[in-house]
Amino acid sequence: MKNNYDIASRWETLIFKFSVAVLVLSGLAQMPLFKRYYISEIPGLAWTADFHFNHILHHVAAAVLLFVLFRWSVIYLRTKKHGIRLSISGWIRTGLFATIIITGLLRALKNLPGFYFSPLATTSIIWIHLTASALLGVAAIYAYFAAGKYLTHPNFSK
Amino acid sequence: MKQKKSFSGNISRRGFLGLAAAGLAGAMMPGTAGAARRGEEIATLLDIESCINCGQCVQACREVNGHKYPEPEKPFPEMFPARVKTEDWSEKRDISDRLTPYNWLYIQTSRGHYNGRDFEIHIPRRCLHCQNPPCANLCPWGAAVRETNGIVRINDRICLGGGKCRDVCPWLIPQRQTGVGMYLDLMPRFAGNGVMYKCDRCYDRIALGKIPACIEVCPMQLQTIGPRESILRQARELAQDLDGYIYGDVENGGTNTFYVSPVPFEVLSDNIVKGPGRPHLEYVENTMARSELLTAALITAPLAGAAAGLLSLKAKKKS
Ligand code: SF4
Ligand code: SF4
Ligand code: SF4
Repeated sequence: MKNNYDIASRWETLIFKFSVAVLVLSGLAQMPLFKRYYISEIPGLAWTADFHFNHILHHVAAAVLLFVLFRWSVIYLRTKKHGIRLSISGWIRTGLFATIIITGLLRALKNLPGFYFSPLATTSIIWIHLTASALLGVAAIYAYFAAGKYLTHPNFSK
Repeated sequence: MKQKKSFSGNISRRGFLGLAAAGLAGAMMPGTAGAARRGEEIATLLDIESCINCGQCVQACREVNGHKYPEPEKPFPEMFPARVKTEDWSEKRDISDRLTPYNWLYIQTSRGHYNGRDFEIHIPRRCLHCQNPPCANLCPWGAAVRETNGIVRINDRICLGGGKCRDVCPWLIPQRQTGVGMYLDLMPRFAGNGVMYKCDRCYDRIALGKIPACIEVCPMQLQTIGPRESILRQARELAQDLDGYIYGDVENGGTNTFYVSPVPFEVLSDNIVKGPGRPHLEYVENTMARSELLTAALITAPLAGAAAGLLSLKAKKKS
């Protein structure tokens, strides 16, 4: 069974969704809130207050996400000729994803020894990353309720 | 030329560093201001055996940086959940025997016995300005930053006071004052808890070509500031000369503060009062050591994904 017109298999979509869920969770866990709100005290959730663990988790989930997204992008770009197009909601979300990925990569680069940005750039990068993530959350919820798909196909137009 | 000094001797060895000979005031190496402006890393060397615990550096830091200290609004917003503790140092501004938001530098004393002799060594303690600082790298809000010249600073207009920087700092350096900062304008009850403060290496003075207050005022002139490479070379020379030890060159992957002591730092650390606002002197692994591996994963993953995409297209074409 395929969805999204042959670009993504069901298990890939699952991996994609799972990695995004982990990214959201480990991203939120970068804020010192899970301890404050007792979440880390729930048995089995102590890790939510471990900054270093969540730092690693965020990177691992991001690597998984990047793998899936780039696989899809290549297939999409190659098969575009067959009439598959991004929908408007697809474009918006892809743009937000791109923004999050670029700022995320810049932030990861900054953590390398010998790689420095100016204070203004450092602060801007993280604020853009946070804002784009929040907007993507809104866009995803909207798309979910409006049943918006990423791709459109002339043969499948509703 | 090798000369042994007694542990308690307070004779300045700046002669060996060539600075006294050059007649330099304030122990700033020539070219430091320019290097800092160009974004080259600057570092400090502290010849701690010379410290006489006069406290003038602590006083100077407070005078010069007093205008940066928090002026909290009271009463503080009630915190939710109620167990979230506020931290208020505004009524205890005089405390000078530990780090607080109103005291970014204090003198730690280590007394003990080493190698058949008694020692008493005073150690000026403040932020070490790590080369790859976890406090700045892991700040989720972009408030803690590392300037290209190596100064690590917390922007008091942005900081929300969550205190993650303190949790991830191997020395737990930054100190919180509740009731100030941006969190008051957001959701003061539910997120944030003030602003975190620590030594900012007198960044504003350095920008003007001036020397940090604590370095300038020291009667023993035991601190030297300058480009990292030269300062590190001097630290190694001094350590060799003393048959001594360096702290800060490799700790946490490398900092821009080099303490040089004739007594090993583990021994010093065993003989100091440690606790909140009173950092240890133990060896520290590089907390950001995994960053290279993690960033490499982020660069490889999309390439691998694109290759996988091409492969599956090819496979499909064939079938
Ligand atoms: S010593 Fe602590 S506060 Fe200072 S730069 Fe290093 S991690 Fe940050
Ligand atoms: S460098 Fe400046 S801010 Fe830091 S301890 Fe010295 S006087 Fe204080
Ligand atoms: S001013 Fe110099 S001698 Fe006096 S306490 Fe500070 S570092 Fe030590």
